Amino acid sequence: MRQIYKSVFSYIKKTTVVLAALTMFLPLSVSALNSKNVNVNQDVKAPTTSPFCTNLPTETANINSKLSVLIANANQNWSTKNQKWQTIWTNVDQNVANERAKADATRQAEFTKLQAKAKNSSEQQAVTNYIDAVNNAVSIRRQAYDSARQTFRSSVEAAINARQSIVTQQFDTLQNTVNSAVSIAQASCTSDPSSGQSVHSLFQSTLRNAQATFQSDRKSDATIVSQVKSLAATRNNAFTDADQTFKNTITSARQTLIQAFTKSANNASAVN
Amino acid sequence: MGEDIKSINSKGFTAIEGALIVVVIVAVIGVGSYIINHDKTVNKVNTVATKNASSVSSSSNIPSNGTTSSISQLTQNDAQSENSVDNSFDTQVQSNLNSANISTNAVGGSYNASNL
Repeated sequence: MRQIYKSVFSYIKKTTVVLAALTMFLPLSVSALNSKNVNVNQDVKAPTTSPFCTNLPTETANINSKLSVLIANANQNWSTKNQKWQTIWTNVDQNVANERAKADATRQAEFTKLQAKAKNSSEQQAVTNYIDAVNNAVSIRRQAYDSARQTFRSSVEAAINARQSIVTQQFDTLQNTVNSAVSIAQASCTSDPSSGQSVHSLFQSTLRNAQATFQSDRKSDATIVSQVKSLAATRNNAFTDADQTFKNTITSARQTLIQAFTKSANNASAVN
Repeated sequence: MGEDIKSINSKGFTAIEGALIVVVIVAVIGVGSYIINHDKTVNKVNTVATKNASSVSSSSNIPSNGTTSSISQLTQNDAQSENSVDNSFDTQVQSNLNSANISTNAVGGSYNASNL
């Protein structure tokens, strides 16, 4: 009996130890098993980042870089402070000054020959009056030319500045649209890197529309060339008016001189 | 005798008078011819100068004879020379505007949406 009791007691003891051991390791096993399941689930949903989302930062940097360079170049061309524009005005002034210096020298040589034809004091006075009248008329005509030239210049600069302002708005609109499209695409790629196809399509269509809007706005720029041609025509009309006034003045001075020579019985045809 | 002398004197006076008339006529013809020729020359010079003014802006083509007509022509040609300076630079202004337009249009091509 005692032997049976011992045997049963030993069995219970072993069973208790085994159960205790099992109780200790069961949570670890379940936990490990659960952990494995989670990993399996994660492998199934693994986000495959689309090539568009992968390349977006590089593409964005390229677009922004090209936009910046091209906009800076265009702004430079529209700036009236640009050396290109200022050189034109400087060259006009320089060439006009050269023409005037040559004209003054030639005219003075003619005056000297004319003075030599005066035989007496009254004729000399008449020649002096004629020279003064011509020089004065030349001076008045030059002032009229300078004024017309200055008006033309400032009108051209005003037209260019106005155009630059419009162009700057066009640049801003394009750049803002591009920036907005990039921001939307970046946000979409971050929230769902695998949804590249739809993000890509939206991105492309937005940028395509931005280009179309920009090019449509650009058509208005063609008018500035005709605008400047019109300003040049106005300037040339002012030149023509000044020429006519000049012609009337020197014709009158010429008649006065010829009459003075006729009165003093000199050969009037010599100065005609 | 007295009548003969009167007749001779009368004939002599007529001869001198005739000679004077001839001299005056020759002088008038000579001066007239000179004036006509001179006017023709002046007109010819003016015509040439006008033609030059319309085709050449340089004042060096105007005959330098110290007359009011040559001075008139010179001063009018000077105006044309100045005007031609402005017109020649108008071409540069338009060229600059075209460059500005082209560089602005280029901004629209800063990307190719289909290749993005």
